[in-house]
This record gives sequence, C-alpha cells and structure tokens, in this order.
Amino acid sequence: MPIGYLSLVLHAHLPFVRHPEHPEFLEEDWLYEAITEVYLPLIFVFQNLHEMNASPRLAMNVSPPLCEMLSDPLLQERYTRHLENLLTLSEKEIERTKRDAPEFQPVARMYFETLSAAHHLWTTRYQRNLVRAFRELQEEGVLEIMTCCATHGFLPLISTHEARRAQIEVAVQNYRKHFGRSPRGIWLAECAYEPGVEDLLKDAGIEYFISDTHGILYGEPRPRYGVYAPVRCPNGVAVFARDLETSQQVWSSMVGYPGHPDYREFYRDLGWDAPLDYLLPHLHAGGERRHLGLKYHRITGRDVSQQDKQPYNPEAARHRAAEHASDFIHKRIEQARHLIESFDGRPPIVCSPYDAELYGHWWFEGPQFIDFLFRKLHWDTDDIEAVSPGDVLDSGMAIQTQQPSASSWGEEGYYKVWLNELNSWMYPHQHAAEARMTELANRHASAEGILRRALNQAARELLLAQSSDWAFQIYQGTTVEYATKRFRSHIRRFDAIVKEIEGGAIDEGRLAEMEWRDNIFAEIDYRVYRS
Amino acid sequence: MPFFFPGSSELVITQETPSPAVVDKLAELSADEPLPESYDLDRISLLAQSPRRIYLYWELARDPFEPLQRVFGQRDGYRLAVRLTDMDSEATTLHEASGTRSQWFDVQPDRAYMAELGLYSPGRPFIRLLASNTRRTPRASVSLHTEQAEQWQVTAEQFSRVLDDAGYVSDALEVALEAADEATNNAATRAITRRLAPASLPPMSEEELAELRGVLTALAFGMPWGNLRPMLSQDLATWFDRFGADGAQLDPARITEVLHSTLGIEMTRSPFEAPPEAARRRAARVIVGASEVNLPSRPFHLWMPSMTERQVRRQSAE
Repeated sequence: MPIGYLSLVLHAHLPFVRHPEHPEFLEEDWLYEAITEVYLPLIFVFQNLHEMNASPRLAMNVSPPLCEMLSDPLLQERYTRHLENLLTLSEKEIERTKRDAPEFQPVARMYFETLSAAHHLWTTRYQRNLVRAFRELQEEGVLEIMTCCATHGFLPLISTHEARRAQIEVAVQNYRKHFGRSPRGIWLAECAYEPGVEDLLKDAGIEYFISDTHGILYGEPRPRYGVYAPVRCPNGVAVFARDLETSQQVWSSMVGYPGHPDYREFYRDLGWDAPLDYLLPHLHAGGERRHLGLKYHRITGRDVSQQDKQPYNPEAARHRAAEHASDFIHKRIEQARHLIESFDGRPPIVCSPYDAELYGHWWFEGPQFIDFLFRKLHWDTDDIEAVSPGDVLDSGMAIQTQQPSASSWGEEGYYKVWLNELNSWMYPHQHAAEARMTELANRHASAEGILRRALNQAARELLLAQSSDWAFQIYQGTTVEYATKRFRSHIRRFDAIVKEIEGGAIDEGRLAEMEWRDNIFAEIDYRVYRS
Repeated sequence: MPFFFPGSSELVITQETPSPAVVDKLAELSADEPLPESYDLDRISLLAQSPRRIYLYWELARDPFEPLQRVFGQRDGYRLAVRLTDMDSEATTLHEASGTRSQWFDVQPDRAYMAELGLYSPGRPFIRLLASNTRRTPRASVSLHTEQAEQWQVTAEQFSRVLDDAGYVSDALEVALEAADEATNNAATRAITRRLAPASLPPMSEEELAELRGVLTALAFGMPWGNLRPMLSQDLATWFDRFGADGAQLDPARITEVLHSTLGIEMTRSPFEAPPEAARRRAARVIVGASEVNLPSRPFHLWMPSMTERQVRRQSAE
C-alpha cells in the first residue's frame, strides 16, 4: 500500500499557427521545434516505458489546436521537410566538429542519433501522425488524455454563456474525433476558473478539471486535506489542485532542477553561432538567423556569460537527470510521510501539472527525467504510486464537496496577465463578436449550403480570436506584433463574414480562402452557439 | 502559455511567395490596422481582473448629451459618470467617466459589483443610460467556514498546517492566529496587538477580529503600511492611525518577535525576507524561459506548538 500518490499532468498546447499562404513561416517553427524536442521524445519515452512494463501512468492534455495541427497534412509535410533539413545539418555537423571543434563531437553525434531516431518515429512508426501516437498511449493505459478549451479560450473573460459553452463543446467534439471516445477531464486554459464553469463541464460530460492551488485552498468550506485530495463542486464535478512544492522543484529558475550547470544551455544555438553562409541552406528563404535547436553548451553556472559557457556533456547531463529523478521521488516520500501523519493515515495525492513544452524544449533533459522518474517509481519504491485523476475518482474514495474559488495559475493567481492595460482593448471586439455569433445562430436555426459554411467559418474565426495566447503574448512583450495581427485578422474576418451573411450576399471565393487558411475544426457546427 | 521564444516574424520578414493558384482575397482583412472603434451598440461590461481590481468598458450608439441639448439647449451642467455599486452593502461611489470609454476601479475581494453609466449633475438625480452585468470579485483569502460533517471537519490549527504544507504561508499564519483566538476566547490577537500598540483596542466583532489577524499577518510579511491602509475598514484604519502606524512598532521583525514570544510561533526563515509587495499571498514570480507560472517564495515553515489558554494568558499578563 503506497503512502502517497503522484498525479503528473502535462499540458501540451500551442496556438493554431498554420500559414498555408506562406511557403514558410517562423511561427510555424514553434510547432516543429515542439515536435522534435518535446512531443517525439515524450512519446518515445512513454512507449519504451510501456514496452518494458514499467507501468507509467499520467494525465496529459493535448489541446484541440495542437491535435488539429498534428493531424494536418500540410503541416505534416512541412514538418517532414523541417526535420530532414535538420538531419542533414546535423550530419554536416559531425564532419565540421570532427575537423574544427572536437570538443563538440559527442554533442554533434548525439543530435545526429536523436534526429535519426525522431525521423524513424515520425515517418515509419507513426506515419507522420502524432495524434495516433497519443491515442495509442491512451489505449495502452499510459496516458489519460484530457481535453482543453477549444482554442485555449480564457473562460472568465468570455462574455456570454453560449460562447463559453462553445469553448467546451467544440473541444469535446474535437476530442471524440481524434481519440474516439469522450474526455474524462479538462485542462481549463491557464487553469482559469470562476464559479459556474463547472456547470458547463457537467453538461459536456466532463468529470474533473485542474485548478491552481488557491482554487481549493480558498474554496468554501475549508478543504480538510488542502490540495492533497480532490474536492467535488456542488454539482459533482471534481477538482484537482496544483501542488506548489513539485511545481517549484521543476519550474523555478532559482532552485529548480533545469537550472543545473550540467544541463544544456537554451540560449546558445548554432543558428546564431555558426557562419551565415554555412547555415544558409538550412535557414528560411530570407536567410535570417534563427534558433535551430542544435545547442552545444551547458549552463555551466548561473553567472557565467554566454561566451564562457562550457561544452555540453550528454553523459553527465543524463546522470544528473537520473539523480534529479531520485531526488524528486525521495522528496515525494518525505512529503507523503509528513502529510499522511496529519491526515489520519489517508495517503495524500500530489497533483503536479506542468506545461509539456517545459520538458525537452526549455529543459532539454526533461524527457529523460520523466523516463527515470517512472522507472524508479516502478522498480525502486512501493511508497509512491503514479496515478491519473481518473484513477483517483475510480478508486471510490470519499471526496469532500466544496465551492472552489476563482483563480488561474498565472502571475498573482488571477486574471491579470490576460486583462491589463496592454491587452484590455481586445475584449470589446471579442465580446461584440461573441454576442453576434449567438444572434446569428439563433436567427439561422438550420442553415444549409453556403450560408451554413459561412456561419461555421464565423464560429472558427471567433474561436481563433479567443485564444488566450494572443493576450498573453501582448502582455509578455514577446511576439506582440504577430499576436496583435492574429487577433485583429480573426476579428476582421469574423466581421466580414457576418456583414455578408446579414447582407444576404456571401462571396464564395473569399469564404473558400478563409476555410483554406483557418481550417481548424472541420467538424464544427455553428449551432453550438444557439441560446 | 509556454512556447514563445526568440525568433518571430516580427523580427524577420519571411519571403512571401503566394501560390499562384491562390488569389489572396483576404488581403484587406489581414491588413494590420486597428479594429473599428465602435460597433454602434449600447453596451457596458464589467470584468474582474483580480480580487481588488475590476475593468469596465462601454459604448453608446448615440451622443448621450443630445437629448439634453434638445430639451434644454445645453448640457445643463451634466457630465458623463460611472456609478459603481457594491451589491453586498449597496454602497455606491460616483466617478467621472473616462474619455477612453473604459475604466479601472479598485475594489474589495469577494464582493459583487455593478456599474451604471449615466449623466450626473451635482444636486440632481443621476440619469442612468446603461447598467452593467454584476460581477463578483475573486476571494483573496481562505474561507471562514468549516464543514459541518464530521468527516471533513478541520480545526483552525489543522487548517493552518494544511496551508503551510501547501506553501501558502501567510494564510497559514493568519489561520494560526485564528486557532490561537479559538483556544483563548479571542484573547490571542488582542494580546499581540497590545504588545505592539500603546492604545487599547475597542471591542470588536468576529469579522473585525478576522480583519485584524489579516493586518498583523500582512505586516509580519512585510507589506508596507501605506499599501495596506487603503484596504482596511474605516474603524480599524482609524485605530491604527491613532497609535502611529508608521512607527517602528509595526516593523516585521518586531511583529515576528511578538508572535514568537506571545504564541510560540516559530518560522525557520523570517517572513520579512520575502519581497514585501507579494508577501500578502505568495512571493516570487519565477520565470523559466518564456513560461511564467505563479510560485511562492521558498516555503517558510511555520511551526506552532499547541497553544493553550494558559500560555496566552501568561503572555498577555506580562
């Protein structure tokens, strides 16, 4: 009998970055780098663990926009090109380092080997479709795949009941399309919750969601077991809240594992270090430098300048990841021993949610850490058992009923990141579109033909405008121009379609092009917006 | 929210070579120009940003002064104003409306608010033009209520440990004070305050005592008095003013020392080492790459011995 449970939750999401109108587009690289560095390595680790009977078990959200991109033929084709280009470069790198920089040889070889393996997984094992890979892992009992708000819409800042409901319903529908069953849990975008959201979830058949720590700690009445047991909203939907200790161990740039000097340095990249003419065949047509993902240095030390970073040693980093996995488990055992005592023998459940992209992209050794973590959980200890939130609910354990508190996992714990002086201008436009969408859906109870297509496309444009990613990027000051442009484009496209619908004359050519560009959710039915 | 890293089309212009098969019918809709300023609607909407801040925006399809001009030939001293109502207490405040058609308001946690846009002239009735939705601000602290069913009952002392274990240390301290008050028939917080202040405390309701516990906790965690004062109820603010809140007696080190000597509360790391602004709740904003997730500072472990009435009485008598 374990003394504690660990429920690891990975949230994999990227905004819908698909630009068929350009032959190559920098923001699409977000997806390609995430596939190379995060999704393929994680899938590889999980599949291996499963095949060696290590019984890995965790929950993972693969957001609807990510599922749509991963199963999109154009992006699959472009990623294949991207990966092959990188593989060619890594092969060249073996020669170059052998000749000019032998201290980097082992790293160059590592990239060539991992990229070759990635290429095999991508083209042969999964035939370019990673949604299939995630689906298999769910069917094998490794993953419990959760859904997310349809376009990562920030529910408390969506103005109408119908538009909030659409974020949930469209997501559930899309999940069924990709995973052939209904989701049990949902990752609310940014863990943003306010009372009432649970009613939408219940109507959609969702059993649980993840909240930030104070979602439960500040709930009413006081939670007997804090965040170390789920609670149920008065309507029965369960809530698992984030454990801060495990968050800090992995997230923190000060005390977290990823900052260790042995680990790979993120900011030194071949794309900026190598001579431009050498790189040219591997850059976009404009020939501008960019991150290529081939990084040869280790963090070395907190105050070490970029110029003084030392060569990366893959073997040393791997040992460090194993050591950190042991430390993580050791700390869970200590935590569980401490908690079980004050819980009258009831084993605590530690819910540890992370952005999946932390593992592999920001923390290169993250997938190895997860690999070691599950091996050690399986073979080295009986004290801690890995579970999914659904497993906890299935166990039949008694769960306290509580009204959780409004919260998010962003800075300061509420909605400031997505509503502030820099991005508040977005909401009057978004809200106007939300109200109009429901008016239109009510007015056209059963549209057919081109009208139906136009209404469906209006729904897509609204959903894309609602992605919380745009407001986040504008607040963060990163890629502000792109985020602003994306938001404006979707609102303008929405307005244009609505004007045409109301005027009774739909430009089919223009509609077709919108459908071609913003092709997310082929299955959408605009009637989801009816009141 | 994780993945946005250096390298973006805003920095680099990619070569655009549209496929010849595609006529770009969307060019005019993709132009990077501002969106329309208005939608010819009468609307008003209230959004919560945080427990203490709400955002209001509105739009009027017509000039609101036009009927006044028509009837009186002039605006007759009227100005556009926002009347904000705390729906729980029904208290209202009047604010001159911003020319930007949007406005931020400082408010209280866990209260319901409603805003009205209208015309106001001193000494005359407020003419309402638009009324917003009602929006409840998020809670900023733990609930005061515990479960009735025995299975889920949690004493204040247990809950303080639960909060401490979860890393919500300032809340843990606040609830630890509540536990001490429970054990001493509300003598503990008063005893601490007496040690800090020369003036005697007036009689207090349960809610006021809870507020006082919150104030002591915030001060112990280094929140500057100037930031705290506007959040307090009038009576408590006046009382603190009377004995000179700016004085050294409210120094976090002094409060920590009094908490220790009066109630035996130990902290393995002094709370006043936390960044003062964030100390009310959680401290550090930790950034790994572009990802940003809210994290507490390194946990301070509160250690609180079981408190007895006798112990507090003894301390209070000193």
